[in-house]
Amino acid sequence: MTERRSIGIGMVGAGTMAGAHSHALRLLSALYPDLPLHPRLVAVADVNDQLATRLADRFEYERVESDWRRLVDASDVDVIVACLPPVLNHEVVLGAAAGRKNVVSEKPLAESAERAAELLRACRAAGVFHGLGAAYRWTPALRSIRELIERGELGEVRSLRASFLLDYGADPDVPLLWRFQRALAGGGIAIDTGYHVVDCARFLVGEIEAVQAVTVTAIAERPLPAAGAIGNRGAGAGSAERGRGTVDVEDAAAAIVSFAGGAYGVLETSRVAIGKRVALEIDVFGSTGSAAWNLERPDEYRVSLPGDPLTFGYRRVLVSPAHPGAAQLLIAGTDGTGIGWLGQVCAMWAEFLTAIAEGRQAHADFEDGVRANAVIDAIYAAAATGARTAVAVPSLTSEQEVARA
Amino acid sequence: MGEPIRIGILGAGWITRAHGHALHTLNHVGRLGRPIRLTALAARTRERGEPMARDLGVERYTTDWAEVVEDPQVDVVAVLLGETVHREATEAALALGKPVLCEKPLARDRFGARAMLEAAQRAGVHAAVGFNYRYMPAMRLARQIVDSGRLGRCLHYRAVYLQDHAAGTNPSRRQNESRAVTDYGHIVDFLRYLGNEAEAVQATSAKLTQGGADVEDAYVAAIDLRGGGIASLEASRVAWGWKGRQVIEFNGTDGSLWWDMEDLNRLHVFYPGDEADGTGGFRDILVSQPDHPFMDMWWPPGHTVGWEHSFAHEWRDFLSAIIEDRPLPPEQASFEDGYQAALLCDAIVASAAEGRRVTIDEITAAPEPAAGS
Repeated sequence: MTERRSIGIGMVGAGTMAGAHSHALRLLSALYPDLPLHPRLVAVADVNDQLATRLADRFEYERVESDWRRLVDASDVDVIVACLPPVLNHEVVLGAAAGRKNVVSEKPLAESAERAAELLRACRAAGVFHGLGAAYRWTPALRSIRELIERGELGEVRSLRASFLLDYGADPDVPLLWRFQRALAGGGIAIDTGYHVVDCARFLVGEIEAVQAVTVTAIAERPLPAAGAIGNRGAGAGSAERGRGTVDVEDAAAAIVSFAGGAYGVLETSRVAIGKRVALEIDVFGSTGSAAWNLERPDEYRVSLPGDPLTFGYRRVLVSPAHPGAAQLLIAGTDGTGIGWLGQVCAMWAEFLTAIAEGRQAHADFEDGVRANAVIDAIYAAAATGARTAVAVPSLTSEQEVARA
Repeated sequence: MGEPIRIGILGAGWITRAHGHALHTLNHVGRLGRPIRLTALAARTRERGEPMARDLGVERYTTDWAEVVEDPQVDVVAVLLGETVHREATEAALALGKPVLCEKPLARDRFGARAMLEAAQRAGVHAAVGFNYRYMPAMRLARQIVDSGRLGRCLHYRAVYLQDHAAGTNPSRRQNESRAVTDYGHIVDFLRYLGNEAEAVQATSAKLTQGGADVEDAYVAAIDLRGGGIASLEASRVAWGWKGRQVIEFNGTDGSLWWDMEDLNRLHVFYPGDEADGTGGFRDILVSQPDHPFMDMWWPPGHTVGWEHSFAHEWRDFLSAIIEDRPLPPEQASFEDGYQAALLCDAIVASAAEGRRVTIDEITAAPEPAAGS
């Protein structure tokens, strides 16, 4: 067996997404034996020692740290993965860049485009790799739809409908966890799952220029969480003695957007849509055909293409090994065997590690993050003012790069 | 418009409402060359006949079906009685030269069906069986696609019909003596409707409810098709949760199609050629376009039809053939189709009872047992 090149992973945060990334990283070398770099799960850092230890035990990290800065200083860590609540990720990313570590950040990259641009500029100035955890664009089905669009099979894209509906917040007794607090989350559901909607829209149709939007806070107060409550639902973690706190962010948001290419989009997200668990649904309509995808059936997509009028209709296409990015994930080697939610996280990591080995930035990087944050900024501004709002992307170049130019 | 064509209805069960509704509809949508009049209705009791006649706008009602058959004001007879009386009522109408549309199953067994077929041949009038699902637009499109040859020869026909109306200790529908095999005769008929003929049957069945007649509530049959393919048929009335899961699949040498009654406006068709460009998959066809079967008489594309529309389409074909004095279209279930369905049903029942493979040829050749034996 030849010696494989490895790359050390330092996980900052030990919550839900840290678990997903760790799981994907553990599977990665088996799914992608030809990867140029193989992940080595070096260390986990979280202020909650118990969580960090549990994650480290489960996914066999070599050690646990209570301060993420020790990961930046560690010589055996090459990539910092920022999996804290969004506002707390900021200093982790800046610290990683300052320490010349490559960095992967969960979405949203920041609470605003300006803050996101700081991170991009810092990474560019440091010359490090920066990857954004926008996992859904890595589903083979969405990649297939993007290829159909690129090949012109749908004609000119005229519109996109994308919604990400969940119901974890519908119960008013779900405690005031970080996702319900602006100070930690940077916003409400728009900047959380809405970020995925925006990323998928950009991935398929291109840049968004202007938006109109509404946002709603459905449940104004929630029980304060007991100490140590984590996750979305925090089941049973509300603390009656501690009383209730005010929710200062939205539970649902909807936007009508204009794409640079002339298409329009209808984007929607909610965490109070009862009955929808994690329902990301996307429709693209072109001048000659249409395509559709639904996360509840992640391994199929539907296309409607010109043909015999008597049998015209959407075709349900099962993702097969011939579809982009699917061969390694369909481990039985055939379509119909399913990939599942974790598959896209694996595909994303395969791209990140390949990009690092090839000395390039990945799809998607922090520039995608800044652009997605800029759309979210515009959605919040439009919802606040009731006016159609242009998307303003801050300067993406670092001062050093400007100076070099 | 010409003279009215006058319909006499035998029976006042829930299926009568479906037929009456369709006959009314045809005076307004998809109209025929002559207006339809519902002149007489026969019910078992006055309590059933009176409200049914009033609701359906039938001019008069009686508790004696023979009165309706013999009524000179009745041109066409709809036999919607329990299956035990189908034969007697149908033969009486045919003997008077009156066309008959008889609900399925044609008779209790192949011998009854055979006698009815011969009576219809002697009478030389139109006679059809109420296999109404042949008249769902999606299943007519299925037949057109199969007939066109695009799917090639059938390798594997699969049919399932599951309901739960007899499930539990307090069933939602009163059980009569009807058996699952003939009650779900639609899936037997569809086998032939889609161009297949059975050669032999292996089946198992079971009575799964308490009380009532000693007949099966569910069965499974494996069938050899003439020409080499195979088929499976499966039905139950004790399958909790399923209300009308009638799924029909045709898997051919050159493609496949399937239909599910619970989503009855859709037909799913697969052509392997679509796979060449990475977009192969079952086409999900919303059968609602003007050039789809029957849809020219309904709404603009995308506006769907329901279960009840099959009865309007069925009656339209049947009465048009009578009015225009031409044979029934080949897609409509004739008494020959009713007899062929009875042969296959009897083979399933015999195979399940005897625990052996039963051929259609032996079932066809077997003489009728002497009465009382």
